[in-house]
Amino acid sequence: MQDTVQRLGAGAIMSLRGFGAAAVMLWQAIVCWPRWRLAIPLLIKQIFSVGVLSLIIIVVSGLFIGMVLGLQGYNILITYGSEQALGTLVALTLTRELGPVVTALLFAGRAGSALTAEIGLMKTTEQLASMEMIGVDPLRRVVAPRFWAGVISLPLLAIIFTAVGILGARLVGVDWLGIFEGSYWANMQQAVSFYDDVLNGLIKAFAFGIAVTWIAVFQGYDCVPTSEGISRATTRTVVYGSLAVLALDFVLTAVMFGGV
Amino acid sequence: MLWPQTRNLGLMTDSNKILVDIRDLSFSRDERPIFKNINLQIRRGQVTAIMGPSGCGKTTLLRFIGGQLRPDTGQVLVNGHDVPTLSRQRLFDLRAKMGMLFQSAALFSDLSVFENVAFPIRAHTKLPEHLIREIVLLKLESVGLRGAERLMPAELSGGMQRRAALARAIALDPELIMYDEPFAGQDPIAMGVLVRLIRTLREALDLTTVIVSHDVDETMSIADYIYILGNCSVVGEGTPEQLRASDSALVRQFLEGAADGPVRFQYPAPSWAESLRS
Repeated sequence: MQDTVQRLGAGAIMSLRGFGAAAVMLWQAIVCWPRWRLAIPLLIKQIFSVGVLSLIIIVVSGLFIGMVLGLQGYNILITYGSEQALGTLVALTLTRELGPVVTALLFAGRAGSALTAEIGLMKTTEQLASMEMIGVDPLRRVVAPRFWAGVISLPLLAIIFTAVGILGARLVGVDWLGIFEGSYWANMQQAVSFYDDVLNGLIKAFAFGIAVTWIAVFQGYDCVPTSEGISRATTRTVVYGSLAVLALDFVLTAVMFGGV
Repeated sequence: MLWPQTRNLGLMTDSNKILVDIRDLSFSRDERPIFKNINLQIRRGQVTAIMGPSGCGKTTLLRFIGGQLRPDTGQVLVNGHDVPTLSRQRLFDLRAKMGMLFQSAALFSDLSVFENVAFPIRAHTKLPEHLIREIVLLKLESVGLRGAERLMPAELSGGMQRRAALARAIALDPELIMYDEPFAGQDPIAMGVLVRLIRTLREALDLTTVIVSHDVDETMSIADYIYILGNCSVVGEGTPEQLRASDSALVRQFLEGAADGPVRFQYPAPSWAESLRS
């Protein structure tokens, strides 16, 4: 019994220490006055790396998820004779939930794991140590641009995902199943509120961007500098990142739409 | 001011002749002692070698000087500043005047050779691009790699990577340069080139040089003063001649490369009978 309590206590202390280390790392990385001449090109390069290079998976996934939503939604709505509400169903589902959540999950798998592996490999090959010895802080040079790139990219990717999903649902609903196009768009326009739905969805995407990118850069920076260490850190990024997104989604949904 | 311009003035006192002063340093890793109260001094303008068997903490010592590790107890004074107590910003300012050649070269893999060498210059100065180009090409010329400026690190051999890393380490004309195992895994030609480079750089730039190595002959040929580490402490020190004449069993074992002596070749193990039984 005493052993179990000790193990639980040790586990809790380790977790708290991890949170503390991650918070200190983020604080040291982002709380500074940036040197714009150096920071902007680095940020643009990282936005390309984590954002633009994630476009294919986001667009393809958005298209298929939108098409599936269109098909399933049509099959359910038609039993009540309300298939014209398909546009509303698809748009609300995507803007409020699926857009930010699925984009963040895909982002954790594609860009988050890449960030962790890249930073971890830089640590293993002593590139971070050599940067420190040159007198350049790797937290500001390596971690900060990647963090901001993730935070900026994820909401943009979520917008693209949602837009492509709506087009995918239109493809199935209007072109294939014969719903009247005017009602598809008009019902959507009537039902979707910019502040309640679109903006809340964007706030979610922004929060997921912070969580996933923070986890990714910290896991890379903190990994054991061996090939096995990088592999474990990359796995942790995807697992922790995905769980954080799902947990955060519940909390944010409860606050935004649950009347909490 | 972290780095007062005291060199070449001929006015140095005993204390400012010493650039790095390690006092009563103790350090353990996972409860395994690495250093116990070691004392070590590195004089300005000299080549100081730190030698010792593998795993005795030579590289760790360089990390203390660079402030990448903090000792459990003791002081690491660089130019009079206690490195472990410096703020993060002051530490980075101090490092701007240090150069370090890592064992793995540690070139930035996403930058070309030119950009690697230009990296510290861009980070610490606001020089115009044409001046940066001139400096980088001069540094690359000094290590024989001017023609490789456009290559990526992955396209270089191990020896060339180390030379490119050396050009980067001297890009800002540091006061102190530290070499971590510069001769490990080098072919005889690359090793000869590196020995000459280290000697030339020290003479041309009046660099204070620290070499961590276990290559006895090469290191003895360029070092002014040598510390030999072992058993968590400094077991021998002196000029190469003094060490060759030393009668310390550990120093003799290290310099002669003998398997038997105070440093055991075999890792502590139970008896054969016990090992085979389990």
